[in-house]
Amino acid sequence: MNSQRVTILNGSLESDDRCDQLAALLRDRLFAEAWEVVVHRPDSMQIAPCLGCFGCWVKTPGECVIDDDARGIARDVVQSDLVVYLTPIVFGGYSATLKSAMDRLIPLIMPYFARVRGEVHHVKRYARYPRVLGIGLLPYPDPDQEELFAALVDRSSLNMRSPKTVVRVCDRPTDDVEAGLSHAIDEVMR
Amino acid sequence: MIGKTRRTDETGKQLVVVLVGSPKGIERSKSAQLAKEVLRLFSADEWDQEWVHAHAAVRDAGEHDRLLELCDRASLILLTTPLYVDSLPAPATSALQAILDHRAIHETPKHVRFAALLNCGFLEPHHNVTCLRVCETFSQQAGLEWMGGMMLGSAGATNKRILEGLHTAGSSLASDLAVPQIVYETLGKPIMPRWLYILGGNFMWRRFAKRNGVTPKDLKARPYEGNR
Repeated sequence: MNSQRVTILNGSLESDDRCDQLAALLRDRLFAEAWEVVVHRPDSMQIAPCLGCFGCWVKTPGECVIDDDARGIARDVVQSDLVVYLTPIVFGGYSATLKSAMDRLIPLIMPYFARVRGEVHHVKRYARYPRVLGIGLLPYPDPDQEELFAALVDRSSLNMRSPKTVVRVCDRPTDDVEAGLSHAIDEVMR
Repeated sequence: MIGKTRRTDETGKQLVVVLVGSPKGIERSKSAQLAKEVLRLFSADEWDQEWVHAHAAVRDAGEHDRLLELCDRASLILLTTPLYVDSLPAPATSALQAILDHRAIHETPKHVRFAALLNCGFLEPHHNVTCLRVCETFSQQAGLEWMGGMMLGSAGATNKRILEGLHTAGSSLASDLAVPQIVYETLGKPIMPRWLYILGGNFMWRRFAKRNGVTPKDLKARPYEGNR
């Protein structure tokens, strides 16, 4: 019995259902492998923009001062073994809908600074953090955006203190992509 | 290139639109303060300024339309924003998406320039690099002329050197020139030793917490632990 948990953050845009298709593919695949699967679609949830107030660090440590759906997402993320950032690639980065949820994940780390890989980063709040699988969708091959997206997921994962990160970019949900995602999940959990 | 692509109104002035990506807005944010430094050398005889808060443009239809209308009249769009999780805050991404969508389906002016001013809470300005590349990618996709960017660390703290860098960048942008390489070098150096930033920063967080009645032990709370 696989007792691992995955949280999929589906950054789908209203005008583009490819992420929804891919999220369904992933959910079914992981469910078949006995993962506990949680899927969030920020676009259809109540998520206010981060206020930049640092209240989640110095007023209500570890929890955002805004009581909306982003609290549940943060809870699910940190209680997972794997988080999947699934997004149409927008300007080489995350969609605004996915980013609205990611911006509200900072309660999961501490305000304190430390040196990490030769740079200043925030200290961990929790003993363990999920591994990260970043999946970006592009309408056509674009090596520059693919490379930028991979760099961005790497940097975000470093800041959110994830132990391992794997990134994949594809253009549409196909059998090849499904097989590729299985390999990516194996790779990130190895 | 100077003057070759200038777009002016009936008074002969160009328009710079400042898009503020900080949730703290135009009046209270460090991002807006920094943009004011960049615009310090924009002559009032030659430039008009309009400021738009990205969060307002996303939630309010009137501000949304105002942003697009201003961008259609702008010679230069300056995005000034804090770094959120290595990229733009979500509302800033939405605002840029709105500009791109508008330009994709409407007859819009060519030769509109775009620059970005980014600040992050870490010591090292280079944390902003991926976000700056996101801004450049947006600029290309929207058919804007990429003028480069300014990247600040240390939560946008300034000293004489940083201010000189911002003014040099502003002087270039006001002359329709891209941000020069010297600005990247000037702004790229951290403003203090790493150990001092960590020590001072951690002291500051404890002090902020104490003001809210939060002890150093409380500050380490793990409210989402152990519920699996």
